[in-house]
Formats: sequence, structure tokens, C-alpha cells
Amino acid sequence: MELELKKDSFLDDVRNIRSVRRSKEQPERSEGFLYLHEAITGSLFDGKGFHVEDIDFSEFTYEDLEEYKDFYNSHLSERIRAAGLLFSAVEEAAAMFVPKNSFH
Amino acid sequence: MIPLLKYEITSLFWYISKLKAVYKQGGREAVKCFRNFGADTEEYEINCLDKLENLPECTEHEYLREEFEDSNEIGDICGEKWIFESEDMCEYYRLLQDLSQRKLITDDEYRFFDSEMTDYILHALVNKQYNDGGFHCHLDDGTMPDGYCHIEIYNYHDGSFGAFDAVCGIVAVFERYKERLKFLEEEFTVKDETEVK
Amino acid sequence: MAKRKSFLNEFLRLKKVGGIYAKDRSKGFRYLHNTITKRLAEGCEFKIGDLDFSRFTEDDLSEYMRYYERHLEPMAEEGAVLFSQISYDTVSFPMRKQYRGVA
Repeated sequence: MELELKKDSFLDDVRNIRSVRRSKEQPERSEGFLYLHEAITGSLFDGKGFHVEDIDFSEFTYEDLEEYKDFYNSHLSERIRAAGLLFSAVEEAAAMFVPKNSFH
Repeated sequence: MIPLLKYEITSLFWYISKLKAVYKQGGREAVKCFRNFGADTEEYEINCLDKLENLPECTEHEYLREEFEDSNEIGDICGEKWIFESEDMCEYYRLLQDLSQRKLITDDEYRFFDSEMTDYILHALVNKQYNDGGFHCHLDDGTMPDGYCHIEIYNYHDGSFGAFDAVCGIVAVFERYKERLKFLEEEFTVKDETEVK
Repeated sequence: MAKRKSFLNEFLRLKKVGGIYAKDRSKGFRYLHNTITKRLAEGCEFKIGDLDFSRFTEDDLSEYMRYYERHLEPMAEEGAVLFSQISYDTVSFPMRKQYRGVA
């Protein structure tokens, strides 16, 4: 699994993922699908973390779930794991970093 | 919805079907034993091992250790043993003997009532376990010299042991002793009092 | 007013299966569905003590177990697989930061 770590492309990537809700470029996305997408990505990018207990099962259908599962596995899963690994590595490195000087 | 995603619901139904079979055979107390068990069946077997030891009829629980010939070495734990007894069970066998000795029941009736409980123990307790040496049951009806009325069950760790089935079985067996003792008392001791009069 | 179609409603609605309409299901079957599945689906706690064993037969239970395994378990499994995948993927996802420019 490889992703380019250029800042712009990663942010654009993330924006594209979230914009499934915004653009409605794909009109076939149902309200239930959009609910799942917002509930999952929203919780992640708002810093709350994903908790299945927060999902309201009256807001989407079984068909929406199946559709979202395919979408998640195709577009999101790898990116989210990569982001998680990246940020963990950065945090770990930052925890070990002891700056001795100010850098002007 | 979360519990339906988290827990093995088909496993829950499997346990409920076991309890339904026990209920159908009159094991009301056995079913009540599990009234606080929830949807998470992964905890059932472990909880039932604790429950065995805490049943009111359980008078002893000990771990069994490997034994070595010609050695004082203490072996590893290889199993567990529980002893169960109740006043109703002891009175059942005492009354049967008494009724037989006083000729208030025939020899055939004595054998019938005696084997009826043995058969029930086999049906409700022993035959519910896998036959791979992990489970063993011993019944002492207290009629032999140096004997005392009790049931022992053993869990040998190199075989299978169904703790849930063991709890169901033990509770159902002692419930049956209580019922059958009441039957003997009503059926034969009332008759006895009438004959004395 | 018709119930809005949702995963939860679809899960709880007794389906016509094998020529058997929901209305033809036995009282015992319905009792099991309402007392166990519906309660759990609505997030309520279930305990064995909630069951009245006199209200269903062994046949009702066998029939309901077959129904659950064939029609409800696959639905629950889909949800369980997706959400456990997400939980796994996000275990390292930072939770403390807002990501500016993303919202």
C-alpha cells in the first residue's frame, strides 16, 4: 500500500472523500448512504472517533448498508488506515523529539 | 441494534432450546437458575463453573492433581470435583429402605423407585455430556456401610465438560428428588398411618 | 401512516417466507421474536428471566431459530462486518485534533 505523502494531494483526497455529501454529483446516493457516510467520516474528522453505538439504525436501509460497505472498502478503508498509521508515526516521533535550540 | 451485532444470537437460541427441554421435563428451578443470564453467551460456561460451586446442594469443591507413583511430588491440576447432597435426597433413599423393610412396598416397587432416580440422573445429567472422559458422575445412595448419600461429579481437563448442562442437570435432579419424596410420603406414609389406625 | 423503510424496521418486520405469511406465524413464534430479537434490536437489555417458557413450544423455537439464521442473521452479519472493519481501521486514527480545511 503506497500513498504519496504530498500535503496537497492528501488533503485533496480527504476533501474528496467527505465531499460525497456535499457535491451530490452522484445523485444515486440515497439519504441513508449519506447518513452513514456523515456519521462515520464526520465522527473521525471532528475528532470524536467512531463508535458504533452512535449509529441510528432507523436512518438507513439494508440496501444502503450494503452499498456503503462496498464504497467504504473501495475508497475509504485503505486511506483511513494509512492516515492512522501516519499520524501514529508522527506522534511517536514527536514524543521522542527534544529540541535543544530555537530554529530561526 | 448493537447487541444483535455484538453477540452470537444463534448461540443464545441454542442455550434457550436446552432450557426449554429442561422446562418441558419439569425442571422449573433449573430454568430459574439462569434468569440473570443475558445475551452474551460467551460468558455462560465460565459463569456456570462458578454457579456449580455456589448451588445450595454443593457441599464440597476441590481441584484434582496428577498423582505420581512412588513420589511425593505435587502434580499439576488435572480436574475438579464437586459433591452435592440434600436432605430430600437422603430422606428419599432412607424412606424407600424403610418402606421396603416394613413391607409397605413390594421388592419390584422398591427397584422401580430406586432405578427411576438413577435413570433420571443418567438422562438429565450424564447423557447431556460428551462421552470423551471429561465428565464423570458417581451416585451414593447412602445404603452401603460407610456410605453417605451424595452425588459426585468430576471434570477432567483432558476431556469435555459442559458446565451449563451440568448446572441444569444437577438442579433438575435435586428438584426431582424433592418431588418424588413428596410422592412417596403422600402415597405410602398416609396409607401407613391408615393401616396403623 | 406507513413505517419509513429502515434497516431496523426491515429487521423487525416478519417476512413472508416459504409461502408463510407473517400473520400465519404462531403466537409462540411471535412471542420469541418480540421478547428476544425486538428487545435486543431496540437496544434494550435481555435476560433469560424475561422469557416465559410456557408461551412457546419447542417447535416454535426451532422454527424461529431457522427463520433467524436464514433471514436475520445475514443482515446483522453485514452490519457487524462493516462496523467492526471501521473500528479496526480507526483504532489508530487520532481523535484529539480538528482537521482544518477539511470540513
